[in-house]
Amino acid sequence: MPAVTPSTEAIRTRATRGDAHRQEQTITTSQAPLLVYASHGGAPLLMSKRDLLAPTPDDCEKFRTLADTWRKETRRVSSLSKISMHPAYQKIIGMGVAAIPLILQEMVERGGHWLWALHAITDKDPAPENATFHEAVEAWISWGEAEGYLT
Amino acid sequence: MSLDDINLDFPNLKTGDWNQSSDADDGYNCIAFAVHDTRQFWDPDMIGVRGYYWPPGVPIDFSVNTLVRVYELHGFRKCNNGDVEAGYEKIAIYGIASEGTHAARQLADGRWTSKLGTDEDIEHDTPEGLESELYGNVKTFMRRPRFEAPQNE
Repeated sequence: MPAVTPSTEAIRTRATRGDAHRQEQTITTSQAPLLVYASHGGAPLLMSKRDLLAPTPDDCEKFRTLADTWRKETRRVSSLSKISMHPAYQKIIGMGVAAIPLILQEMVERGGHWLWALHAITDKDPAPENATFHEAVEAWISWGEAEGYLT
Repeated sequence: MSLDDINLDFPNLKTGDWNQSSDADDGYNCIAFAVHDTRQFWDPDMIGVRGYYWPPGVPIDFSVNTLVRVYELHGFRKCNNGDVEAGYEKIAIYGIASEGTHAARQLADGRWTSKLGTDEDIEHDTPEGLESELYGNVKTFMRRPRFEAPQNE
């Protein structure tokens, strides 16, 4: 399975081509992080994380339906446990990595309390300690851009 | 979002009883707004997720009793009713059974103001106007000496 590169600007990969010889390839990029998608005996295929993990049309449609339902049914609720335990929100979390670019784009365009979903899916929290909600949103959007989920 | 459907959630609100007083903003909630905080979203269930606030030293739950303790930290004490009292600012805490659902703040003119979830702020004539299936009933009133609201509200 693919070797996942860290989010650094310099990416170094070693590709093995068959048993006969080995070839080392060094790639330096200032663009979005890349994933090395393993091939079977051929040259490794380099793809951006955004391309590799891009949600399918079905993912997009499912997300849109769930997000609209969630917004409609929680917009006047004050408790985040109720907001985030809503079945539609939980189903979005259940979409896993495919939901990340969709959530981030939704945050950019429409706002919303997606921090818990992002934290649950990624097990990360790029926001600074004591961040306000809007500061945390900005931190997640920056994270999404750095990780290649947002362009 | 729009407040056109507000009566679906709050059938006690009659036309003319309320008006919108801000645009929607998901950066704060009613619990914060009751004490004039429009920069933070106060919630006990997001501890561990950055971007939310909960006062230190109070239980990690959204019960009416805990909300009373939260507001006691801000100088409020329980009082008997939501009538206007000169020199005092009052809040109403709503709940369903023992669970807190909402908080509203009395304005100097006797009307009330509420942040509706992640939606807009409104001003409403009475606290009972928001009693509903969604927010339940007013469980308790609290008061503190009135002070000037911050300019950023």
